[in-house]
Amino acid sequence: MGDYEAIVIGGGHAGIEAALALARLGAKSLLITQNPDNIGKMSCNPAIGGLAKGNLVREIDALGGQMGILADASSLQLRMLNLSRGAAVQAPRAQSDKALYSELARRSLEDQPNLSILMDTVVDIIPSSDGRRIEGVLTERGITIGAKVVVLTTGTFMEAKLFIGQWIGPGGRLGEPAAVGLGSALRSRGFPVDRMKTGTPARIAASSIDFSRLDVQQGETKPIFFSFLEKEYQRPNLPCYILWTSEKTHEVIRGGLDRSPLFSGQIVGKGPRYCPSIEDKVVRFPDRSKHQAFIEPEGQYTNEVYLNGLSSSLPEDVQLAFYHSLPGLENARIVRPAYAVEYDYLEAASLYASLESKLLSGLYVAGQTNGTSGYEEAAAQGLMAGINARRKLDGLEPVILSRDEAYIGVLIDDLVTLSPKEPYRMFTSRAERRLALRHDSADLRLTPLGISLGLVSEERKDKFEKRKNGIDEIQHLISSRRVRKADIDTIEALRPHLGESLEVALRDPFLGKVMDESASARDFMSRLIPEAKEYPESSTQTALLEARYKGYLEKESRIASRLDRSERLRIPSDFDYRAIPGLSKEAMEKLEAVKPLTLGQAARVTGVRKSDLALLYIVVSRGT
Amino acid sequence: MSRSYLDRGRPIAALATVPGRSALAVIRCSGPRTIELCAQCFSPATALASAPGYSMVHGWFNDPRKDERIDEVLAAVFRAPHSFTGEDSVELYCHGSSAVVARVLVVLEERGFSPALPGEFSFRAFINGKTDLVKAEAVNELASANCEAARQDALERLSGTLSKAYKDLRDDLLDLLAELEARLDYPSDEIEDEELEPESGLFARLQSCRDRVRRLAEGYIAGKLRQEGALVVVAGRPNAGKSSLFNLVLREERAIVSSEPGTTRDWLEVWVELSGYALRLVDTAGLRQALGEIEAEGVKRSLELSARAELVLYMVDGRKGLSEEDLTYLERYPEAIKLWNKIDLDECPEPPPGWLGLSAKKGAGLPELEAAIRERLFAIAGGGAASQKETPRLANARQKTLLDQCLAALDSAQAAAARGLPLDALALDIREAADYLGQISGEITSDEIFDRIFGAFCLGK
Ligand SMILES: Cc1cc2nc3c(=O)[nH]c(=O)nc-3n(C[C@H](O)[C@H](O)[C@H](O)COP(=O)(O)OP(=O)(O)OC[C@H]3O[C@@H](n4cnc5c(N)ncnc54)[C@H](O)[C@@H]3O)c2cc1C
Ligand SMILES: Nc1nc2c(ncn2[C@@H]2O[C@H](COP(=O)(O)OP(=O)(O)OP(=O)(O)O)[C@@H](O)[C@H]2O)c(=O)[nH]1
Ligand SMILES: [Mg+2]
Repeated sequence: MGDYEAIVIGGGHAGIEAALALARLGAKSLLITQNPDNIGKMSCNPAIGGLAKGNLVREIDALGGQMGILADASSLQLRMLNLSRGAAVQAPRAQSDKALYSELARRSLEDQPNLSILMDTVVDIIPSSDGRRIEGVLTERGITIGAKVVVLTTGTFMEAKLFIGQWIGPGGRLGEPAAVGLGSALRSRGFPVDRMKTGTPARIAASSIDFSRLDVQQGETKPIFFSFLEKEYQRPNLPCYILWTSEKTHEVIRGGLDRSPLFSGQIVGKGPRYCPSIEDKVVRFPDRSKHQAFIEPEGQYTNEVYLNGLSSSLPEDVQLAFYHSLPGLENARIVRPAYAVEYDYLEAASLYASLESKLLSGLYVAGQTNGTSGYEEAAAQGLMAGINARRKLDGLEPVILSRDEAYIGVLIDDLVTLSPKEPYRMFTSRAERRLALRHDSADLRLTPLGISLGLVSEERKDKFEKRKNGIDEIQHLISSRRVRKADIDTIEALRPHLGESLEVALRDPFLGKVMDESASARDFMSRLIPEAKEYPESSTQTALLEARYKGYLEKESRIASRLDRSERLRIPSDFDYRAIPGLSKEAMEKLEAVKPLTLGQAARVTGVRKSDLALLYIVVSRGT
Repeated sequence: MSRSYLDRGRPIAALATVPGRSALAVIRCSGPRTIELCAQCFSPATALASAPGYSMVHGWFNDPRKDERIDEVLAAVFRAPHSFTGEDSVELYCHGSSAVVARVLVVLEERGFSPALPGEFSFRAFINGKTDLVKAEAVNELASANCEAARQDALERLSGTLSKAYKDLRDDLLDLLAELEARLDYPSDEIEDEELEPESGLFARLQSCRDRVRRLAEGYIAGKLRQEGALVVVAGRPNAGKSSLFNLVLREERAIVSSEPGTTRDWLEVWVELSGYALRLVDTAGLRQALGEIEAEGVKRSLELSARAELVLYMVDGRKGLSEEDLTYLERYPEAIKLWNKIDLDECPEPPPGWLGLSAKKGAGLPELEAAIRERLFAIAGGGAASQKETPRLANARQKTLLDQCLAALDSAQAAAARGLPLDALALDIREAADYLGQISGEITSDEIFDRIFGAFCLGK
């Protein structure tokens, strides 16, 4: 087996982006994954995007990653979420055809020059003789493959166990073996490895459900894109269905709790709080008489549907009984039961913000292995790990996105400072600059960086420049225009703004409502400025949103910059926390472990009290 | 040699009472080895060394080098963490002569105590988690209270009522924010409606927070007035009898009184206490078209002082009646208490309605004047204890500035809610408001905390 410059372990969502980024940036790369048939499999829900996660996908795309393109090309339904709650918290979400997604993902890797794929399981990593650098990996079949950089993206597979009621079996996903050996090897090499768990609901035969008794949820017909390439694929628009559990359901669930591995203590790993299993919900909210659930298609050519909101690790007979208590599901047949998975993850505090290990130079870790959950979170890390591993090969400084630049920056900063002990998921409220991190502005924020890194194709670059110029031109049109008499006849809400600059008038929330009610941003704009018809919808929309939110964007940046001075205050990397008299022991240990780069980062480390921070502030700012 | 606040490995000592002659003086010592080091200059040494926390030991303070007794003292012993600073501490009660105090401090320094930096005791208390910023500031305010009202306010702040008011407010804002964030973080069609409070309920909560912040901010005027004293300016034309009144209130011939108009040039200020309120009473130069440069400057200052004053006492010579100048002045300060002076003289007519008859020379009308001042200050200071019960008063400019900023953010949030701005914008305003409250208590650390707050403390607190 020859050597490579870079190896990626695992062909999940993180691994795909890492491998593509490395190869696209010219590194001779190898993806080792347990089974190439399972590349890019969506382990859980058949959907990409959603609040905050949709922003991540668009950021990945803006930097030249793959996920947005795959999601656009495999969608079964597209929706823009949260339309009524403000532009900053809107995001696209797609129901995806799982099989197609995975096939397209695999194809994009196969078509990528510089990239090879090998079916095998990595069981150990090989450090240099001085123990400082990584030199390669060892596989299950006893093969040693050398590489200067390695990206570890093992997802839910390291030493993984599956749970269905009292049944416990090895496996990373139902029907797929666990990656056995690597977790123990990392443990014995001194890496901080621990356990987490997550769960997935059952897949039901659609033909056994009476859909006529359920509420339908249709997708939108307006075009919605993840990728800024805005390619139109001829995709079907399939509905989802809404249903509610009842007291009867809850009774059945309560009756089966004694056989749940969660409540009987067989699962030790911590699960996600915000994505609880149905038995969790029933136990935690005993007063609630019903819970909402959704039925979503798994693919265009399969009879299986996904029961969103009903993940469980109860025994199969209990599962079946509670599905049968749901309206329309009285005769439902389970194809794949709901199950939970428990797996090894690495504590993210052992990583730099570049995602490189503090313990072993050249080893990068991304995805669920770092304690996150979700395809989008995994892909975002994979992309950054790939970029930074590639830069390491060239001896270049890592690229670290800041919290006010991208959700990706928030995600990675949170990971390496908070070092989550339960699965971490992205939320808009985790971002301080939420208004600035709108999904539609991802390319403006990140594509220039993507271009300078060399990750962005010519096609994308052209598209970006056109869109950017379009936005600038529309903004110019808006700012050079005053509200005239004639405008009031077209749009009554403009009346109080007669004679004002249109740019200022657009901040009026009443106009915002008119915009939202218009068929499109372009439609609204061209009622005032006929030339606006010339521009694509997406440019018009971004320009309008910038105008609408201008005041609040300024305010947001003011708040952020006030905190910025101390936020940005740099802590030397060799800083000796023991030299601060009176720092609490807990803070000292945590700070030693995390080695925050700035005071702001230190402030977010759990266990650091305000008085510790005060001391740190004085020492760092005065240099005493 | 400059020493840093951070150098907390060393014990510190400082005089905690006002320097100068007094019956007793208290010297406060705190830090590692404090009890042991104090015992080295104390007899009986073992009694002090082995004293439990919260106990008093009687004995002698000695200079161990010269084997000499300095003073008979009481030593109060505090053991970490049960002390003001959270460290081992000793308070020495010695006799209040500067010679004794100076000797004791020298001996302590020889034992290894460093003279405390301004605010260092409070700094240590803050760092050791014994106090939040609001309480730390209250310590300073307590020490500089000029009157009973200010002392009561500061004591109340020290006991944590103000800290609690800030904390409760911030908690409520953060709860509100959490409610909003839940709406923002889960798509509208996926979050279960039962989990959400209706938006009207949220807006009502916002309104209540805003009102509480406003009440706190308003308490500042009262608190500051009580802490710093009300500026009361006596103004009027030359020879009206201003300086005479000043002396009358003081019961002391402080200001020069003469029948020559334009006697007072430079203004005079004294502290007086009037029914629990501290007043800074100021006598000013008489107002008129000045004859010379010095007098002109005096007149200018009189006007400046009137502008800053909480209360103006405007006086005329009753015999002369109201002139053009009087009327112009009163137009600018309609709130002034109007005094009709020299009613002891026969040629002085009865005061017109709205004017208070007075004899600055003989003292007639003084009780009425005092009552009027009291009533006016009572109104400014927020209606007294009863109506202010739930809202503690603050007297600190830093806190007031942050409260005002918080109020502005909440006003903006309310306006946003009323105008139907989307929730993401509204949430930003509330976040900002909560942020300001966090800065007040030091929950959110910003640069000014160390630079401004602790530097302002006087020694020994
Ligand atoms: C049961 C279950 C429930 C889930 N529930 C949720 C949920 O509720 N919400 C949510 O957001 N996300 C959920 N997910 C998580 C979601 O699937 C992951 O977040 C996402 O797939 C992580 O991407 P990844 O690239 O990190 O890893 P994965 O997609 O898990 O991919 C890892 C890949 O690496 C390969 N691999 C692993 N180890 C080795 C090795 N040593 N050698 C070679 N190849 C290896 C595996 O075969 C696999 O192909 C769930 C996953 C599972 C399995
Ligand atoms: N009879 C009588 N004389 C008074 C009274 N008040 C003041 N005088 C006299 O009025 C003269 C001026 O008094 P001052 O107190 O110096 O007046 P002032 O307003 O301070 O004057 P300027 O400092 O010059 O502005 C003095 O001779 C006082 O004795 C009063 O109530 N009755
Ligand atoms: Mg005078």
